[in-house]
Amino acid sequence: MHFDPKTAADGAWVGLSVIALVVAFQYVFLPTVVDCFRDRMFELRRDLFLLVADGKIAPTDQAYVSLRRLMNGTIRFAERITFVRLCMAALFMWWRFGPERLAGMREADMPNFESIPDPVARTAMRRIHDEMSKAGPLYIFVSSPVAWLLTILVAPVLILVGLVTGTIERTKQLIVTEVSDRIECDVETLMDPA
Amino acid sequence: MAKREKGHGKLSPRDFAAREKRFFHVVDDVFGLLRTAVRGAYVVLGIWIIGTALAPFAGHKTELNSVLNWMVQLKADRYFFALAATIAGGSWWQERRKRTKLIEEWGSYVRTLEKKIDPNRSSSGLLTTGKPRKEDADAL
Repeated sequence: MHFDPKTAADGAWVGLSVIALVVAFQYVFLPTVVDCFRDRMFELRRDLFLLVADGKIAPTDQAYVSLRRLMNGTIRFAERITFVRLCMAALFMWWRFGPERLAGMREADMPNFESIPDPVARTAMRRIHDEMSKAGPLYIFVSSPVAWLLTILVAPVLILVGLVTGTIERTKQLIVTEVSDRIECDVETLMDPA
Repeated sequence: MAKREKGHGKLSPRDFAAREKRFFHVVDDVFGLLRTAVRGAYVVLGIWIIGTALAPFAGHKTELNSVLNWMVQLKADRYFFALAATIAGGSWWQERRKRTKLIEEWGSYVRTLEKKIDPNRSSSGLLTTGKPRKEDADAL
């Protein structure tokens, strides 16, 4: 069997490219995406702190302390918030403890904004929390090749069904809420070592 | 198959929550290991492709030399590609250095100011350079 040196050279280049791609993804792309996400979280944490600086909310307010703690945890564990890990954790927790416990954990971890006396501060904190809930799913999607692949496969079907049934906005909202809730749940658990 | 634990059973809610957390941390650790393994597998795949491409030429020094000749025969487009990659990589590296320095300076400044308003302010737990602690970081 004859082997062509040019084909072999191309093969070697393909191998080198695979290694270069993994190294670039791991050491250039991912750290940049993580830093972008952390920057956004720091930005939101500054917005939250300004409420304290402006005297709209006390730094000891339970909702403030709880939201800031959640933001700190998200910043701290940003590298560990990944699409596959999120799915795996949800799946295993569901399998081991059942859907009721999963929902229970979620409710227990949520900051309670109803207790804030000032309506302006309450609205501002809800906005900050909403922004946080949007940033999380976007980060999960951008940082995960598995999520890209899944989106390519599933998104056309979801969009088509959404267009036909008129539920596209509701579906989008459902996905964003579900993912951001899972992120908050996992971050809370990561912050609390077993 | 493990028995599913839907209720508290004989455990107190606190103990049950602790069990849930322990289980979550196990899943998290296993995933961390898997992630490292998958990345390692990609590098092994790259090495395997190179090995497969060059294996038929083992022991044939002249033919192997011609393969290497083909590999280094850079054409103009490859020169441009290499140049663009070098410039982009160098700029990225420089940006990272500056960014770390900026975070160190501004982080300390912001911390001092915030502590004046809220002495009990909580921290993200990152290092002063903006990097996570070793125990918080993910797989390699």
